[in-house]
Formats: sequence, C-alpha cells, structure tokens
Amino acid sequence: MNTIKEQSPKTLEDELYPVGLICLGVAAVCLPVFLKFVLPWFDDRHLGCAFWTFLGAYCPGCGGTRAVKALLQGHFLESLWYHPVVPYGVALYLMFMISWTFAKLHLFGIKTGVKFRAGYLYAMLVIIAVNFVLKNVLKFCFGIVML
Amino acid sequence: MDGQNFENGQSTENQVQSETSYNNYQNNVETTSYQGVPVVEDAGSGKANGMQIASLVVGIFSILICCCYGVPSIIAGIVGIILAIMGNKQGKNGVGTAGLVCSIIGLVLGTVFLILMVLGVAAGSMDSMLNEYY
Repeated sequence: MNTIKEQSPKTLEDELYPVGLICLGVAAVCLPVFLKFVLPWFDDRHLGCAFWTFLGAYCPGCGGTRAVKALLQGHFLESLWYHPVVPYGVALYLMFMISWTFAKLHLFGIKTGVKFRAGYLYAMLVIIAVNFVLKNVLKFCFGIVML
Repeated sequence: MDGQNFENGQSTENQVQSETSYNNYQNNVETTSYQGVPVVEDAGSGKANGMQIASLVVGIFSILICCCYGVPSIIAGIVGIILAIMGNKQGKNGVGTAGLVCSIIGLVLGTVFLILMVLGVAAGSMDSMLNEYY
C-alpha cells in the first residue's frame, strides 16, 4: 500500500541556508587570498580607488576593505567607522546562519531561525547611501576627512 | 406526493441527499487538497524568490565595487540584471525591481569608470599620476 509522505512546505529560508554555507566556503578561500596577495599588489602600484583618483570624492564602497580588515582583527568600532555596511552585513549573516543552524540541529529548543525580510536589504542600501553622502558632505563642506 | 418531483424525474429526497454528499465532498476537498504537496513560496503573491534576492545582493555589491576600475562592477551588474529578469518572470515585486535598478546603477558606474580609466591611460594622465609615486 503506497502512502504519500507528507513534506513540510519549502520556504525561502530553506533555499537561502545552503547558499549561505556556500558563501562561507567561498569567503574562507577567497578572503585570505585577496588580503594576502591581491591587495598588496594594488598597494605596491598605488592603484587606489578610481572614484577618489578621478573625482577626489569617496565612492559608495570607500573604506570597505579597511572595514573588513578591522573586523577580522576584532576591532568592531573601527570597522563601523570605516564602513558601517560591513559589520551590518556580517551581523545579519551570522544572525541568520547561526539561528537556522541551531534550528536544523534542534539545539537549545530552537525550532525556527530568523525569517528573511526584504527590509534587511533595503536597510543595507540606506546605510550605503547615507554613508556615501555623509562622508562626502563632511569632506567638501566641512573639510573633515574621515578615511 | 412524498416529495417526488415528476418534472425532473428525481425525488427531492434523493436530490437533498446528493446535494449533501456533494457539499461534504467539497468540504473534504477544501480541507485536505493541499496537504503533503511541497510548495515553494508563491512569487505571485508579492513575496520575493531566491533569484530576486540574489539580484539585489549582487546589485548592491556592484555599486560597492564600482571604484575598482569598472570591470568587476560591470560583471556583477550584468549578473544582477540577468538574475532580476529571471526572477521577475516568476512574479514582480519590490525586491526584484530594486535588484534590477541597483544592478543597472552598478553597471553604469562601472562603465563610466572603465571609460575614465581608458581615457586616462590614453591621455597619459594615469602614467604621470603613477610616476609621482616612483
């Protein structure tokens, strides 16, 4: 007698979790290579930000690499200063992945992880835009150089 | 006589019974029809699917790296646009639109900086800037 095995509906979080694991693997390989070989190559040739070179202004991503390095060294506030989207993105990623790992392994009685909300990504866009505008306004209007 | 409907050739008693059993069938279908079937979130209801989310993430990334002399931003922008178009085919919503917009912005910024770099190299200004440091 055939019985149909009931399956719980597949959610968006079920699709995002393996993608998050893949991203972790890629970052674990690419980040050390980038910091140890690629970045020094650019620094040795004084090839900095093209936005800064041609326009003399901060680009939307200026400070991002320094923020990643500071975060890897454990300097959270310094990372926030260089570019707030980096610690925000990392915190978001860790919150999602850790909660769903606990849920899938049934640890600490956690049944479900953090739900994905599009608002998290919209907030990321707002942080990038505000950071970009604020740094350039401080530089050009008040002469304050933040990076 | 006794509820017999001669016009339809069917007794009203049987008609009521068949209607009742039909209603019971309908109720059963409504309560048990979608159990056990794996359902991916319905994109037509306005919720984002994986491709739309990926397009927004890639679009944001392409904007952040636009200063890296254009090429990575152009590549990320094109990937983001493709993901947004594929995701929007399953149903449009804000995330897909935002992903498309961000990818286009990243692509445009990357193109602008690539052209500036090429013009700079052609005009020799890049060489002179680099020579200042040597």
